Amino acid sequence: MMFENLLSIMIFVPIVAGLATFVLPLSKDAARIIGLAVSVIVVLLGIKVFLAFSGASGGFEFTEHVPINDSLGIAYSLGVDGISILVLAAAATLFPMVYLLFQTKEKGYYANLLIVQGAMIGAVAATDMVLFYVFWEVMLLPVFFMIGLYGGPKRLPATIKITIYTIAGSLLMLASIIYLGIAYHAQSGEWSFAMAHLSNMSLSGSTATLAFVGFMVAFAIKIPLFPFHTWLPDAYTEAPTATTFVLSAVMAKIGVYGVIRFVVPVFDESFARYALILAFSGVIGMMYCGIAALAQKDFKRMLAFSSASHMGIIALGIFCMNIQALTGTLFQIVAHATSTGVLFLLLGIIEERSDTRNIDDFGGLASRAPVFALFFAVAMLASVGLPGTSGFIGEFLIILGAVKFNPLIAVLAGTTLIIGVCYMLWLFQRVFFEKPNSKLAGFADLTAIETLTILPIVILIVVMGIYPQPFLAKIEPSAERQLALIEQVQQVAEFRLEVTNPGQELKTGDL
Amino acid sequence: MTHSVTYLGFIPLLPLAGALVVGLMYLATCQGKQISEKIYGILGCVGPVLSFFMAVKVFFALLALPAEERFLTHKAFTWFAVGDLHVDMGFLADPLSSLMLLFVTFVGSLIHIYSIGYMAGDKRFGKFFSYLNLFLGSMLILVLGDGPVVMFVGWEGVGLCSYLLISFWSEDRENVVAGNKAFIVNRIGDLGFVLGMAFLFWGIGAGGFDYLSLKANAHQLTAPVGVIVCLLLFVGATGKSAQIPLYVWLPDAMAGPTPVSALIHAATMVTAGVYMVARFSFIYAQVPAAGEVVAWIGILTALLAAIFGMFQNDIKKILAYSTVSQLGYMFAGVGVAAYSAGIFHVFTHAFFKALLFLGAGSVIIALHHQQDIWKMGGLRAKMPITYWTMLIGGLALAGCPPFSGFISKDEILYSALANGHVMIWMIGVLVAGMTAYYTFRMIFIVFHGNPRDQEAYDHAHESPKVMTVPLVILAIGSFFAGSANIPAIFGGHQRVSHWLAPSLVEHHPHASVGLEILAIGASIIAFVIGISIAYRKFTVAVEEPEYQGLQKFAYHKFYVDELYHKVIVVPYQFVGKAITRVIEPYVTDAPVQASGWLYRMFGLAFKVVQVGYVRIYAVYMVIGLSILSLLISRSLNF
Repeated sequence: MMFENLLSIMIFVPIVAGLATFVLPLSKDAARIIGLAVSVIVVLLGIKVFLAFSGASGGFEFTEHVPINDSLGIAYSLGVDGISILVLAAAATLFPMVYLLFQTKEKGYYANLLIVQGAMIGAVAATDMVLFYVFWEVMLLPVFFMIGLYGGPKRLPATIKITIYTIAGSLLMLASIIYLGIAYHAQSGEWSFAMAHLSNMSLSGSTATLAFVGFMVAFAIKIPLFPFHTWLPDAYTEAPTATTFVLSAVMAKIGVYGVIRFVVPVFDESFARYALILAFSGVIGMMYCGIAALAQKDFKRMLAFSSASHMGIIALGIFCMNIQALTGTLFQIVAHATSTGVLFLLLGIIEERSDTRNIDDFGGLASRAPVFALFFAVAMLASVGLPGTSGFIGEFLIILGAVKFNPLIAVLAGTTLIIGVCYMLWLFQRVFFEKPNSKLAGFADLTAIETLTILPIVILIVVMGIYPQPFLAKIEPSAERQLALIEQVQQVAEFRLEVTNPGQELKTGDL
Repeated sequence: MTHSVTYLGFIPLLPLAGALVVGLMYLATCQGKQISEKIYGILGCVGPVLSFFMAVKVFFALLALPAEERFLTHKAFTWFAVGDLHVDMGFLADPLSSLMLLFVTFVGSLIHIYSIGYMAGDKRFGKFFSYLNLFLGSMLILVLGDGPVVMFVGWEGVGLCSYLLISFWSEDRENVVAGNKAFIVNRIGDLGFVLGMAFLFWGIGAGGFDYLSLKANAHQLTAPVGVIVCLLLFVGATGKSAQIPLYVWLPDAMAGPTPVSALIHAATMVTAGVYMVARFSFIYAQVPAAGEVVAWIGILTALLAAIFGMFQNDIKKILAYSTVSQLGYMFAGVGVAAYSAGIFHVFTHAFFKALLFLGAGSVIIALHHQQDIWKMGGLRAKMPITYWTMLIGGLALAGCPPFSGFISKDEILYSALANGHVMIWMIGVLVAGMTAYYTFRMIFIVFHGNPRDQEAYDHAHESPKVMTVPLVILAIGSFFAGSANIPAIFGGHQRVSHWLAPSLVEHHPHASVGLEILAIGASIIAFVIGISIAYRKFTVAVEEPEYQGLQKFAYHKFYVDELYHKVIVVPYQFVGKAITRVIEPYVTDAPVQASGWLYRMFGLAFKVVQVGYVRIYAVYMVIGLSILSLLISRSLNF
């Protein structure tokens, strides 16, 4: 039965279609139709995986395993568990909107979109580190092309910047993966890059710390964690909006996913030791980008900072090392994908209809385009974490967990409630309220197709806010397992912290 | 012992469904042919009125039970559960929430009906009713929620509706700015609420995060955590209920249509903070220190707002500050652990303050959106129903016996005195006098004397029945609501206090007739002094005065808004600009730019081969991948 290889199909159908689109002499319209058809197939398969996934055991489901190199222990092995299921769902379901809403001049753009989708699904499904790395790299290539070839007027500096960052990150990650393989070989006498094996190692010493840093930096760039975020505003702003959508809604989450999947279990000791610093980095990034968002004049750049700001809170959830925060992060991965996704899609529509992105050129859109305004408002409310939308559940769980981890960090993290509304409401005021701007006289409301394309995500935002339990139930057992891996180490680390710095440690017993 | 009843869930659901239906109808037609106002009006009022009838049903269902078993619950579904945290989408009707339920749906329904008249002719008539329904649904979730998290859903929902309705006439920048201010300031409070919930959860939430479980486990809460929880929750209350230091949004919120001011910013939403403190009386009662903070913030807010209220010219702003001031009383009440007294004042205040706002709305409409009291005068003759009903509301607000406001306010002041908070009581009496003064300053200037704007006066007329009938009903309520809780000294039975008892953890002080007479006497004297000064100054022909010195300082509300702007808003914006223009390009991005420069130099070398920059970097990646696969295939011995 073909469904045994469901994940492989979801990975390689888009990649093969993408390569074929490159090679075959197709018109751009044909390429768009292929892209749409493939993405719809992937959505259907993704829904099937999501529904069939039980998550009760906390272990991997839909596993595939084909050894590639027995002597080095490298295998083509895939699987989905509670950590990856929602990231996978996001990567699988969000693409049809891109093909439906946006057109481009060249077929190559569609080919890149196809490949990036396949590679992202591959990166999320891979349970072998080398395989993960391969998909990770394949996933990054189309991004450079899409920004560099099809981006805005300042695309070249933006591409250079993202390239520098990414190459640095990739090299560090590669070195760290090789180190892990060697370390495993030294401990067990065998070669393996399988997650299941590597996560059982106990690593210590300065080299392990270096490898930890290598991994962490690579993922920190992708998330991005402060201060590795500076590529993001430029890349998000200059990329074609469909690419920005992919970057913010899915790819950034793979960075978060990477930390949870690879860093937490393998480098449990280093992770527990540096969790406080990393948590601070997440919170500072949230505040820094959120405050910066207020000062942006470019609509897209503001949303870019907003997206980066929220990623800080999402990352924080990993470092708190308790079940509420971690589950909150995994849930927020999709919640943020839906809200930021809708915002960027709507922005893309604005870009197609008017020649300006300057916030001050807008005004009064609420009366001119009420459906557009309603969709934007729902996504905005999810973005600021209003209960009843998907944004609340994740943020609430993360802040709740943060209080247990470190109350000071929780207070700082909580300011996201305030910082978010500051820039969002001001944006909403200038774009949708006030007097209609004559520059937008011809701005029409969403067409029927546009409405129907975006409506499912808008509905999902509300459904995930009101009835999140089916999603959480799929996540929680795996999150529990992941936490069990570091629990012991954490206690040791807390003990050390207490010895070196008494009084700093949170007495959870008091709470 | 609790009883499960499904219809509880319908109480908030009905207005929410109304909001959805009306909203979609409006959305579908707002750019074409408009649906008639009649249809919107009927659809908009159906939900609230049905909810009111169900609230009555709930009340009688509770009444039929023995006092200690008065708990109706409905668990709709598990909302979210992670680890020890388990949150149901659940509702709880007990004596406390059923009382709130009754007046919220009652006043809410009346204001919906009134709005049909007030909003007539507005091009966003349908939108207004959709928002108003959404508000009522959220408010009912807030009241009925069976735990803090569900309460927070309503809490944020009403905040959203408040924002949407303040900035309802959104073409005007001022309205939108006022809406933003309300949302943002409320969010500062919400941070406290969320953190408070988190501390509460880690304290005693593992055994169930609903009120009944929390109440059962409250004794396990250590005192320090209890204080933290109470103070953080109170931060939330200061935002929603406009207390020091977060009161600044409420006066600006008067930018919204007047029925909104009456419903949201006077009768219901702004009292949510008081309700919250009463709801958590089982924790507040354990930590009197936190209660003391609540009481002091409350009474000082009452004083400050009363001072501001004496110098306002805008009829709605006068009422807004009086709301802030009365909310201060309520917090003083719950702060001194007189929870039932605080809630009873919430109850009576809902009637007379809604009445005053709707009366003010009637005046405003009659004068074609004139809100400056110094442009009014002599309207008594033109608008008799509005005048007489507002007079009743005014007497209730000013604390004239035997109007409802007198009875409920007196109970708070007496409780403060009896519980040993003499300073709080004294300030409270002072504020009572100031309240009588500013209330009748407003009524005398608006309705007595001679018209100050003859042309506006000539065009003024009494409002239509759809507006005056709610006024009359509320006036009756404002007079009689107090009779529900007449203290024993007047031969009453304190029915409301007894009714609320199972929901609250409250220790009534030993009744002392002497103290009671002292409290009542002082309140009456304060009222008489306040109203006589107002009578002497404002029943004669008097024009807008020029304020000097301290009066000017009060007229400008002690420049608190300006201070907040300079100390918070401006620096915040400055940091945003500094990050964008200085830190980002020259600090955080500097290492990358340096390496970028290196790369560009490197790239120049490749320029000869006529390859674009971008692809080169892609080539790097390919090379990296090739090396890796080479390594792998080498080891495979291909």
